[in-house]
Amino acid sequence: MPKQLLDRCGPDCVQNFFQAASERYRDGVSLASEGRRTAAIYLWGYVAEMLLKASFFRAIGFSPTQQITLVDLRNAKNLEANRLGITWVGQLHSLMSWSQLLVSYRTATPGLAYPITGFGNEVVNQSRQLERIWSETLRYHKNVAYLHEVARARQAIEWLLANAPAL
Amino acid sequence: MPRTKHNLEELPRSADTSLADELAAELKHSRLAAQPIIDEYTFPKTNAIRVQVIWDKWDALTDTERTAAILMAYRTAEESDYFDRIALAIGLTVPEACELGLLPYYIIPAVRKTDAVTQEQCAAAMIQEGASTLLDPKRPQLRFSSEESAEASRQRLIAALPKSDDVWVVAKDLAKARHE
Repeated sequence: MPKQLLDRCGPDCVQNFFQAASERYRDGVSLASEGRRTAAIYLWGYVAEMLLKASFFRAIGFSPTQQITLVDLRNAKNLEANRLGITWVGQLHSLMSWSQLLVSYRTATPGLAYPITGFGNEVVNQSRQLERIWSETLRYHKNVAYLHEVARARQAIEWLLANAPAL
Repeated sequence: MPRTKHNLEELPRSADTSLADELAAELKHSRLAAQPIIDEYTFPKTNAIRVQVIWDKWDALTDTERTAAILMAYRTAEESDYFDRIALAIGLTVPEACELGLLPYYIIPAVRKTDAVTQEQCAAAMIQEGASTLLDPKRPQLRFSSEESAEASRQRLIAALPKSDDVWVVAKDLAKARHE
């Protein structure tokens, strides 16, 4: 008997996050083209979240297939963010917090600073642009996103995806 | 079909020069009260700096424009070796910073009929102290990152508005409930 969907899913890890980000991005594009605008933005927010989380754990030395546990996520939020002077917003879905954590960690660690001047600012600004119109709580609401909001979200997520190898 | 290549990393970065100049002046002559609230964090191992400027005047600017203006201000106000250490520059309005939980402390005027000062006088004093009027011009928000800075502001308000000692209340936001 074939395994069910959840049983076929591998553990949360850097590699899976990056691959899943590409899949969910394409899902979002399909939704947007069908007029399901809020659903598209809803998925793209998670794409950004996966990219930022994967990039952070890659930066701190996780191997591509090393499992990222809930404890790892909470340590990032409660310990590492605190060490770097970042006020964490809400729970584990904050794009602004993950982007600041990622950029601050790389900035604070010798040898990990971004080689391109201003790149870190762009990572945070693109994440923030998305966070202005995205929250995991979108699913609880019936509102339809405006076209310009879809365009703005898509521009931000495509920037993050295009730059994912360098994040 | 015409083929056009766009490089998203090289979009023009226009900085608001008037705000950059104003911010540069603030950097040179730091004040105790009022906006902008400028916080600089230095990472000891790399000596890099993260700058955060909370200022209602960012309201009409995009995040990228805010970053550009902050960098321009630092380039004007600081030596190049200091400017070169800035790795991250973030601009937020007071309401945005509140939403992000960066300014949990606030001062409210609890004015009674028997007090020697009026609500309007208190609002004026708060605006002078740097309160935000973006959300509601009639109800200025005076926000702080720490209880100490809120208390220091309360003392300045008392000095600015005699007989208002009992009016000012320092309070703190309750943590927001969020879905995990």
